[in-house]
Amino acid sequence: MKSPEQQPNFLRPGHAACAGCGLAVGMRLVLQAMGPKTIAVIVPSCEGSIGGVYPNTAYGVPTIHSAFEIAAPTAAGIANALKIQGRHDIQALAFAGDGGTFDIGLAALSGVAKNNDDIIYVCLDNEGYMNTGIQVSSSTPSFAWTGTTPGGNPRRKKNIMEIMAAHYNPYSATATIGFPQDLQQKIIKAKRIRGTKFIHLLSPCPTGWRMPPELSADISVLAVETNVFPLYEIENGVRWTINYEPRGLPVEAYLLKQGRFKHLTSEQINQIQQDVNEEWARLNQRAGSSSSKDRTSRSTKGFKHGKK
Amino acid sequence: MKVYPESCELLIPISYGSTEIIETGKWGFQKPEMVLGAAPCEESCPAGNPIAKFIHFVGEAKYDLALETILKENPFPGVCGRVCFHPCERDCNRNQYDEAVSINALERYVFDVTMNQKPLLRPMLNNHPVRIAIVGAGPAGLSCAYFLAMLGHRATIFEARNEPGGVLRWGIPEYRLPKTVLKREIRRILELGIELKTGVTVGKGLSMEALSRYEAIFLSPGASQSLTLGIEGENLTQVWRGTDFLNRINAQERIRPGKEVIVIGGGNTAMDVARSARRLGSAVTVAYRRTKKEMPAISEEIEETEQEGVHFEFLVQPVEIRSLPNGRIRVKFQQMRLKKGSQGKRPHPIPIKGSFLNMETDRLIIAAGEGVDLSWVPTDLIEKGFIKETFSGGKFFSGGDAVNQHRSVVTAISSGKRAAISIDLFLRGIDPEEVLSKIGIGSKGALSMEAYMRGLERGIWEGPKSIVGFDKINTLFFKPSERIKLKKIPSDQALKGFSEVRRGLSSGEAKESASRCFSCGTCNECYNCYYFCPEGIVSLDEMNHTRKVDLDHCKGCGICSKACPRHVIEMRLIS
Repeated sequence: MKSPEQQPNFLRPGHAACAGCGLAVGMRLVLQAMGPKTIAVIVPSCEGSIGGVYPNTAYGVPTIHSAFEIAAPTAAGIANALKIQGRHDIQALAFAGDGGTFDIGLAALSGVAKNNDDIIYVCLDNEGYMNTGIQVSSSTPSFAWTGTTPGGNPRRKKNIMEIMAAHYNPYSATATIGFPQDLQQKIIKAKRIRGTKFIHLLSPCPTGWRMPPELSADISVLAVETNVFPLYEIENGVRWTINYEPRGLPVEAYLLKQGRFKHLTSEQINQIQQDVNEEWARLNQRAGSSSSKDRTSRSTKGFKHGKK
Repeated sequence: MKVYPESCELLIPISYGSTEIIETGKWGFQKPEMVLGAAPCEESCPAGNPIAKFIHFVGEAKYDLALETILKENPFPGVCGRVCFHPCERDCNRNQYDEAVSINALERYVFDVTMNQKPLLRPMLNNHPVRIAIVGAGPAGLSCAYFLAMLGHRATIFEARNEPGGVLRWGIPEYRLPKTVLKREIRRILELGIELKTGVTVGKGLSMEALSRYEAIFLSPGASQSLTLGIEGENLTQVWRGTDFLNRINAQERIRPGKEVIVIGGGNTAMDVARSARRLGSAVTVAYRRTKKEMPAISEEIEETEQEGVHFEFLVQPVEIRSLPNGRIRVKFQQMRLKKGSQGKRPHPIPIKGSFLNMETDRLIIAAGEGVDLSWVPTDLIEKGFIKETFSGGKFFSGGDAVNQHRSVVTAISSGKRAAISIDLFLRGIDPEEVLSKIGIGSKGALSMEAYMRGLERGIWEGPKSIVGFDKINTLFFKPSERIKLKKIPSDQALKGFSEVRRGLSSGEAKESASRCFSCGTCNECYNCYYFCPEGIVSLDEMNHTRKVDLDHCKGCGICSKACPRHVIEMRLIS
């Protein structure tokens, strides 16, 4: 079996991401799991900036730079064109940030999910408009500092997974770079399913989250271990499965490492903890009622890296 | 009429080039460097076992590689995996997280599963082999011979008994160390071309002058004489010596110590004597002059001794033994109390005036320490009842229980290794002190044979690796887990004979135990550095089996260093 390092890399070095960019890690892991038979769509966002300056590109697969809000329809167009050409071996992949997914591209994504066009849509969630200088998005968590919420975000993070589940699309899953094998297995699984697949990928942004660049991996592990960002998948909008049983650390472990939360009062931290607990309980209830047993089973085969 | 462009490039520009031409590495002000360290367990192991590395191989089910890894530093994995007091587990970083890794049991497992395989040992080629004599085929002598053979020398071992093994053969009972295990280990050592002459006693069969004609001599006769108590009645026939008793059992003599037995002492020999006597059908009482806390025996041994129904009498010291008309003896014990020891020493027992205890018994076995037979040793090599540990400049070297050092199998192995390296350096005319300080593992005295041999090849010895402490471990990547409890045969069954008490790990348990290892300071190919690199520029350097980073594109974010759970990557500022 090939070690991960021997597998091809489709996000070339020399790209323009900031040092410690979680989004670049995420895209690299996704593209590696997708393999060469992929046509990717990117939108004006960090992905566009990372991709490099004409005439050079960091993307190792054919990639089209579309408009901000239409990552999903562009990919759907490509997918349908491929279908007409009989190229069933090539998968269309859309990358969009949380701004392009939660806010501006939501209607377009909803339309594609409604048609169940055969694409994989990866939302690279860094919880704000980071490329334009850290503004609040509807994905920014409660009380987080951004350029436009200097006193902390008054609103809660939008629950995009429930919105997707409401479309009864075949597959939606959360993933984060802190659990690379889990992320890549989910991409492999999505590739085998026909229809609109949605991956909500939490990608830490050291610049926007106001933390040292070396913390990207740690913080995404902590997001999962504190239940702030649980790893789960939803099949056909009804079958919920929790993929990883977290340690359930207190949310401070996640919050206090980030400068965007440093102004938090203990009441605000308690509020976040309470919200997290409720969400986790609700998620467990859903997973318990829809999928009876296979909590731990990954239900994905193949693409096992080296070990563990 | 519509005109279609031949290529969409007229409408949208296409990038064909690669960003690889952009040297984003210039952005960074720090660069990662792979720095292998040593784990605290490896520092604590007197034999310098490469623990993290061999456990990594166990985790990958590459047991032959695991065995070869251990054999680079320790010729006795099967023995140490059973009888070692495992200071490694005491200092395991995982102790500070949940529970220590089962290092001892894993070492035994490696030996047990590879029992029928012949490991590939690669002794160095030496064009000028010289003859070296070793006195005593115990763990120290055999280790010294083994490492000398690995360094390409020819060693001849002189053993007074008719079989090699020393304390492993004649002292430690079968239920702790099966003879089949020992035989296999000794055979593997002797197969390296080591000459063994049994039944040769220095001073009788071999004169000291004849011994002195060898180019170098390693003295490791061991300590096999039970110390006497210096009290009245000690020479009665009802009073036995602990080492004699164990000797006779290990020589498969059929003996019956009697219905009731009292054992004097609190060390491992006393425990061995007590448990052996239990197995021979006696009711046993161990009398020790301090309390349980101060007993020098391994705590697991004490625990098992208790489980096997041995009674303990603490704070008593025998002062007089009288024989009774019915053939039994009466032992008079002075009752003691503890006085706080000075400067971190053990508390000192002092007699309580006029307070005595009398006990009647069939047999008293004295196991209160062992002395060295120095009758044949030249006086200039003797110091305070021991053989001198170091000699300046001469060709005599010493080790094992005969020198004044901590008495354990692994310390003996360690002294054998130290002597082998010292002898090699002596023969090469290099000052040993300087080299020994550079091939150490940490600061507790363990030496790395691998570092020594690598230095010989390169002609220069690099400094020792630094120790990776718990504060340098990224525990986020390890889930808390329980240490697997070793299974033992039930006490009532154990007492029926001398079959081994502790069971080894199953393959599943071994795998699970191995997966608990932090492998501090050793790369175990978890790929974290690769997965989390935003640039994807970490790759395997197949020549050196290390990771390398394409520094032209490294922005110096430091994720690889932070996310390395075992602290193998360090960030260095660019000067």
